[in-house]
Amino acid sequence: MLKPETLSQQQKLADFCRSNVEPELIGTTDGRLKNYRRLVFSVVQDALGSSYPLSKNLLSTKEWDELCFNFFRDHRCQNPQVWRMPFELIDFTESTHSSLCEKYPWLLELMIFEWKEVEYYMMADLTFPIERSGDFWEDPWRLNPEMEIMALSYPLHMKNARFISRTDVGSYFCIIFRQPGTFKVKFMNVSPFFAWLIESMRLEPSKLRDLVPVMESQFNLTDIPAVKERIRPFFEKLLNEGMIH
Amino acid sequence: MNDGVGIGFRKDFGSAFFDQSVIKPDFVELAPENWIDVGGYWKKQLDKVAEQYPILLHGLSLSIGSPDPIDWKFLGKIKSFIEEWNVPIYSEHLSYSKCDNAHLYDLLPIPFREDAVKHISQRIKEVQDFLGHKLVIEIVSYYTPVAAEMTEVQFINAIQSESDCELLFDINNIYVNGFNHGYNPKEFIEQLDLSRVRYIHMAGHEKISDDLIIDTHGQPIIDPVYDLFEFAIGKLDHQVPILLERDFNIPEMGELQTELERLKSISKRAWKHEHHAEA
Ligand SMILES: [Fe+2]
Repeated sequence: MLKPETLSQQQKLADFCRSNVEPELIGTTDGRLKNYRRLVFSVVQDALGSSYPLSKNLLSTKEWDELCFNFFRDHRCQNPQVWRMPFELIDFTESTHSSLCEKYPWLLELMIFEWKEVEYYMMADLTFPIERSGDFWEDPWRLNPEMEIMALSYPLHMKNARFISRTDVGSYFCIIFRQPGTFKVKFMNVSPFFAWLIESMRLEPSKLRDLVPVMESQFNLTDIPAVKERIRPFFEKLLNEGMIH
Repeated sequence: MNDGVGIGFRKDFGSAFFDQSVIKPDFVELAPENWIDVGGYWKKQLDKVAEQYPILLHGLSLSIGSPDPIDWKFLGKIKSFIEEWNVPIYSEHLSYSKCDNAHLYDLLPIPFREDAVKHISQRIKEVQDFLGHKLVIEIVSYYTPVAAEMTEVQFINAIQSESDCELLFDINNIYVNGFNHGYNPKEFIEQLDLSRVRYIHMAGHEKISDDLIIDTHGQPIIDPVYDLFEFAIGKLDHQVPILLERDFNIPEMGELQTELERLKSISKRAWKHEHHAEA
């Protein structure tokens, strides 16, 4: 068992590293403690800045620095893997920095968007479906499991976050995926119709032929041959990018 | 694994690292925290590293000196990683990096005190039981003592004998500590139980003022640290693997190879002597 005094010395040093409020510690060498705060906090700042370069750029330097400072002081970082730690900034920002979120209504969405890129780049490999061979309309397509559709209120995937304004608010869909082979994380803007189509296929491997009647009713489409005309090149693109099999 | 000269693999080494005509360590060391549950591009790189070299692990997050409980769940992941990649040495730091349920992502100095010895030794034993082998504990560099009631060397020796762990001998850390705290690193080494040394680290550092060196791993190893290395391995009666750590300010791979070769030739010379002495 640690004695209360030993415990409190350890806590005070750790607390200093988080808060930058100089502690009273026993028997330290003059002027040396500050190195610990500097070293610890620079690791944290680097990790946050490299995970959220766009959010950092969106905020003023003062706003970003304050956010990082408050985060490390007030939040208890939970992840033992430092590169996963920045994910914890999103909830922290939402729950404690409402004025920032009001000033930049797309900030939280931007942070989620940026984190998705880190997450998809780093995530453990998922099992891919076997290569498909068969008929375009008659055989089921399977999606690359390393993908998802993000529904966005701001066009973060198409526009520099600094030039986004409140008037951009709307309904956007973006596919994020890790491209097989290159392992690059890519984003693709899609229409609500194609977002729906992909989401349906994500829920279960589907034949396009079975989806056609649903398209008709869901989207009130009458000119089915024209829809089919649009689907084919879109699917070819998905195939080329390794998003479907 | 009982010998060889390896290097700490960094993601920013780039593809030049895989050209064995430029750099050819005997093994590589990884921080498991950077590789556990990682896929995609970096998983491919890890596969490539493992194809060419044996892998040793040097952890960052165990926080053996922490007042907080051990994260058994994450240690379980490390254990699986050790098994998956057939890792012969898993080492960690004699410091703490988590407190009051908050990770700090760097190595803080532990009070050199009797109750801390008991606390840490007990934790090392629990970790060793869990892993099924001895933990190799690194003597860390530190910039100030905190609430010390014994010397650093008494602290380390007490933990070693009480926990029956092995020792990662970081020669640069001992040099840096000697400089920063005004003691003679050779005398420090002579007071340790050298039969427990399982592994050696070598690195560069940065002198930021007249009386302070920061252990950056961002520079080449300096001559006095090579000298201390030669002195230290001359005292060992067994061979151990030696690692070059270079974490920042990464030079051309050829420069690192030159450092690896220098380490190899010093150790060969020292250990050849020993072999002759035994014969
Ligand atoms: Fe080291």
